Amino acid sequence: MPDLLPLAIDNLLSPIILFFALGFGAALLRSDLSIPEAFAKAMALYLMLAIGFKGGVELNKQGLNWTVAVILLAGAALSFIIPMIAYTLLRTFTRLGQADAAAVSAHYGSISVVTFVAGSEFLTLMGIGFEGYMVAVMAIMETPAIVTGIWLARRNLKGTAEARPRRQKGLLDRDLMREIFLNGSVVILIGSFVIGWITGPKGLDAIAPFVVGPFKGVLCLFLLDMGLVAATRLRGASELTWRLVLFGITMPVVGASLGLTTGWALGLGPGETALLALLCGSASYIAVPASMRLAVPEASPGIYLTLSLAITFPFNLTFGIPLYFSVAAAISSP
Amino acid sequence: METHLRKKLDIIVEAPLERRVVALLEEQEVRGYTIMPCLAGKGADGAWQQGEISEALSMRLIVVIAREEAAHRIMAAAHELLRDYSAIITLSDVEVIRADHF
Repeated sequence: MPDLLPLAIDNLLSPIILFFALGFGAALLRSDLSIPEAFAKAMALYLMLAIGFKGGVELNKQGLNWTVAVILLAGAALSFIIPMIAYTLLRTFTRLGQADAAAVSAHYGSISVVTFVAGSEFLTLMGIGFEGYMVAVMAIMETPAIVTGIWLARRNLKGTAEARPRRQKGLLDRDLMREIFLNGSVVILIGSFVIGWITGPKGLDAIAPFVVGPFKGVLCLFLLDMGLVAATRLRGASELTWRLVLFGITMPVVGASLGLTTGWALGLGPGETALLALLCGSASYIAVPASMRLAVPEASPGIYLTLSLAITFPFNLTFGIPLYFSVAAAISSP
Repeated sequence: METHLRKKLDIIVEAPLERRVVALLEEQEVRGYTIMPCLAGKGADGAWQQGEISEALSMRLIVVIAREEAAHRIMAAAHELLRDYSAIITLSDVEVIRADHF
């Protein structure tokens, strides 16, 4: 097993983490530094386009095989299952009610694209490659958790018809289906992945100056914004208890352990295993909150957004990435 | 100048629900509406602001001007749709110049 400490220091001293820390510190000190919303959105789109496209190109080079189908299925299954574990932990160790616990658990079953991107940059820094299909695994893991979360929120609802929320017509109505499956981030990730797959290395050559060259710089700027947003959220977090903070740090490790076990069982390489762990350990803050506002309005965004954005995201970014990688390197086939 | 009395409905609603409110307005056959982004605010569910990476906490202001009877009908339908969500619905008197537009 590689020594964890130097890995952690290498990671902490990389530009992307330092820019995140800069944003975080600036917001804590109440600086007026801010990034225009539309620009932040455009950066998020750019990052997803680039990571999707490059993943597709890699898959084009390596070709499709059964492993890909198996790991895609495994990813979807993990996304379905992880919310149930998160929900059980929340109901046992915190005082969250059914709706809040269900909404939080949906976030933890889903994934964070930026955490994945930071993890893949860390692997590149370590000289470890990973297969392009991991991007498809990420895209597929984004949504099943939402379905589990909504189910957890709505099952066994007691009370009279009047007291019960009135919006539900079945588990998922059409509007919600569109929000979940045609969510902007899912569309651009899968779309760019397919375009990369179709066009292959030739396509990459054509647009490399756009999707490869500026990638790290854009990532730094985006993480600066994430730092600002995370610290602002943390400052205004009145609903956060120490038990919830503990959950926000424990749950990623629990999820990542499931990912590591799955990667090991499927005989994946260290890069793929580490990324699968990171996907299982990360929590969504883009796609899932919108779905939860629609489907579980009684759950408080002050809890689920703060946990995923201000606790779990910084934890994974700083300590999670080197931790999962060192375990993955020790247990996976070379 | 001659003006005409109408009612103005202001609906402040969470961004993810914008589409549902618009569908409701179309269903009620309103002749027009305007949607505006909201910058920041505070309410029963705490403070929120635009630009949180997720759109989930952003709010929208949807403005509709209609005749009194239609405005009350839309208000009741919007209340029914939004009763479980963070939303503010208000109705006020306004004067318009072009009566045939509203």
